[in-house]
Amino acid sequence: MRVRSPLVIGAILASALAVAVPAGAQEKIVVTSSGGVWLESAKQNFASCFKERTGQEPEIQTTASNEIMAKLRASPGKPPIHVAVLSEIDAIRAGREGLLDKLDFQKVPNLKDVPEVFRKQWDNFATIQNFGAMIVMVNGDVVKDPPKDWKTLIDQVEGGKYGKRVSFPSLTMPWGPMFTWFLTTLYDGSEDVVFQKYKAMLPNMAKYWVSPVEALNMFAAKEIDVLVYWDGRAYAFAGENPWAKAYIPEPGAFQSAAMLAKPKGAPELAWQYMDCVLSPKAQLGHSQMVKYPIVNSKVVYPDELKKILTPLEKVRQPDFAKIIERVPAWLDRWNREIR
Amino acid sequence: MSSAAGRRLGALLAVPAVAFLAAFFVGPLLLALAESLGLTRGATGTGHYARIFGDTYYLEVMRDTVLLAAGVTGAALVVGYPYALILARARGAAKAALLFLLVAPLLVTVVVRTFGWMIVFGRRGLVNAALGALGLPALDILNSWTAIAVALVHVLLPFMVLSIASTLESLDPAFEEAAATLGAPPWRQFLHVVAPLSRDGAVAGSILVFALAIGSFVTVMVMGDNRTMVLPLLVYQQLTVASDWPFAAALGMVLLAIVLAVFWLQARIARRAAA
Amino acid sequence: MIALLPGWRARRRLLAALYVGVAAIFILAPLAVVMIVAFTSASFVSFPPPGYSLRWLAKVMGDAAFMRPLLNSVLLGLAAAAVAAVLAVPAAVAIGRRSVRWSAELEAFLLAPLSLPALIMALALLFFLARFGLATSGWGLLIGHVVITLPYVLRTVLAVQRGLDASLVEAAHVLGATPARAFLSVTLPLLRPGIVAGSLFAFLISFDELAVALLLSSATTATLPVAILNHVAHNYDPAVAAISLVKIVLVIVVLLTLERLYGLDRLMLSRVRRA
Repeated sequence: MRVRSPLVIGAILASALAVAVPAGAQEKIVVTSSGGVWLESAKQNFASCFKERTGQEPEIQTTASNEIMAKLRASPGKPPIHVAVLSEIDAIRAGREGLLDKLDFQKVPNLKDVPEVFRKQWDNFATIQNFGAMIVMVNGDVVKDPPKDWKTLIDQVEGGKYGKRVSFPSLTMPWGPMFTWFLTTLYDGSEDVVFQKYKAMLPNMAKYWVSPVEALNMFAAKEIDVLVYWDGRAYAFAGENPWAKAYIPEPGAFQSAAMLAKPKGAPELAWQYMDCVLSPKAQLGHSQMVKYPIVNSKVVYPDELKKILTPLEKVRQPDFAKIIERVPAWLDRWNREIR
Repeated sequence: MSSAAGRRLGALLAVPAVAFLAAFFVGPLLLALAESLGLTRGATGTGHYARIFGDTYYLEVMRDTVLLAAGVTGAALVVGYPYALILARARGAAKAALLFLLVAPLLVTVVVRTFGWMIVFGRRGLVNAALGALGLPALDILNSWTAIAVALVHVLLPFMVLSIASTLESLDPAFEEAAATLGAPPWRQFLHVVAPLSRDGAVAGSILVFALAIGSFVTVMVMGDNRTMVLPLLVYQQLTVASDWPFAAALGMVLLAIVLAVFWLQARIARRAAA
Repeated sequence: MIALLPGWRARRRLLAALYVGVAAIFILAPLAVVMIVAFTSASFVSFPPPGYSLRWLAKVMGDAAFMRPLLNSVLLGLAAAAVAAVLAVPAAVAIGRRSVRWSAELEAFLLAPLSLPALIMALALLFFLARFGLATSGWGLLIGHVVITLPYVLRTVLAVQRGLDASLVEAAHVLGATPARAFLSVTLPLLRPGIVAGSLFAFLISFDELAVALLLSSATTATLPVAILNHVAHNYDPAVAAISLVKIVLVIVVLLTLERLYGLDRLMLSRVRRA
């Protein structure tokens, strides 16, 4: 017994080791997606199209922009990821660092139906696949008459109208710098005014949220009555919970987007997958599942979708080159002043 | 002969672990160090370190980071010691139940665990409902150092308790019974029989909890607010928002140095106490 | 004097029960909220749930996006704990005996991975392993988790080792046992509580580890924490509460099985002193 039980345990562990470390890399093309409903959409809309065209299944990895960037930088020219979905800022950085191939209009014919505004700032190293906006959601039982525009909202929060029951995005969350840029456009481009406002709102801020989950946690637990949040997810939440109301304050919102790109060194088949992502059928299917607007101009939204998608004329595309340049200084200022 | 052979065997026993870490820990560590000094970008400089040590902001963050980790370690020791005593003495199903209770927090993902805390400690949460029913004033401890510390103790407790319990397992209850039969009061039994035996377990647990607490940032991020900043959270910001790997690496090296210094201090105190 | 003993013991039992009760409330309160949320019928997390159903449990248990990572995490945790134990236990024996010169320095070196922030460790390891083509092979993930978990096994085994009576091992030598035999039949059983606690730590740390797993896993080797993070980053549904419940049930089953098959006492106790 003394000998046998360690042996049994050892055998179990050894077999665990053998299974845990799969032998050899697979030759499949590796694409990325967010998790949950995004993954389901990628399977249903993008991967199925790809399979129809090539007979192959792509390997879909759920991963975020930061991790993709680290992996691309660690193996330049030999990317472990063949189609990447990046954040706007990371897509610009990756293009500048020579980690991406320029979009190939021959091999991605659907690109001709994607308006130039969706790829111009990225110098054709990446294209938007879908976009969204950051809007306001309130507890309608408590906030009967929410302010119509951002500046009034900010002044009311500052004045304590909602008590300490408000949450805005923190500058330190991945899209925080873009929100900060958007606020500067409301105040004649002045960073100083925006930081003063951030500071003035702090005493009445339950928290500047950092993770999207904690933000909805607070709202769902009714710890807060006013939340600045993504449109698609806010409308989805409000659809389930009648007490929640989501709306776009004037003069609109900033555009945030998922960027599609092919890392340098990825196989040619990656173009085929990208063309699938941008095809009208897959784009519509994707929009219906994730509740965000897409970019192929041939797509006609059905009415029920039209009602909840933030229209293009309501969103402003941030000036990413400027934001990248300002981020380190903003971050430093945020950490020191807004506390 | 036996002692010389033992010494040689002793040295050999450590070789695999040392070799493994020499390859897979020292390698990456040197890489990060080189990055923090700008060596991989063609320039050499201690600029990032000068920026960190020349700025009271970063020094304050370092202080808060160490204080949080020390506080959590102390609290975990106080809360965990009795638990370890009970766990070590429990038998059968009771032991299984106590063990499960201990590791349960680790099985619930931090983001939903946070939702749980929100329901318990929120402004309209269960604790405040209970306080209100008793006519006591409401607490507002969500998003504060207190909330962070409570959440960290909650999830790091198993590392303290099991470290201590594993040293108490070899305590023969017969010792204590003998001491009791001989008329020693409980506190003397504890001081002379139990405490010395578990001392190294408490040290081990404290080291593990301290290291885990000082490195945690997700809990700090979701349970804290704008005033609660720690070094690993700065590292996270630099990596995710600013994409500044060299500065993040420099901050990481500073944290490494702080933890190593605490370990060293602890070893010195332990050696002096033993002498 | 003897007559006093039962009363004292009863008081101690009452105190212990009271303590465990309070600890259980502290540990379980936030977790209970999550467990209840796992049974919600709504599409969003809310408390108390508007209605109850098994839809989220059914969803995660039938979803390969959660179940494959869960299996990966279990296997990786077992493998990492096994390798870490195989490396760390002999090293702890060497250090604990103090027969090796530089034992204090060795201990510091082997504990050092505890002090490097996980994010820096992960990123540096990614760049380091990418040079050898190991970054996304699955081996990289195992290597990373062994580096991280090795110190836990080392430190807990060391704590038990230091509390042990070295004379037992000496006796084995004197009785003519070869060093290898003495190690296997005397030292190892004596160290059992430390090895069990340390391996449990290693498993739990690996099972919950995120930074290294995020950077070194691929689509086929993604672990559960990675799957959960990527799920909650863009979704807000009770699936994550449900998967936490699945983990908890899994651990209860494992603990009960171990208790039935081996007896947790025997697993966690030093073997020799009972003989």
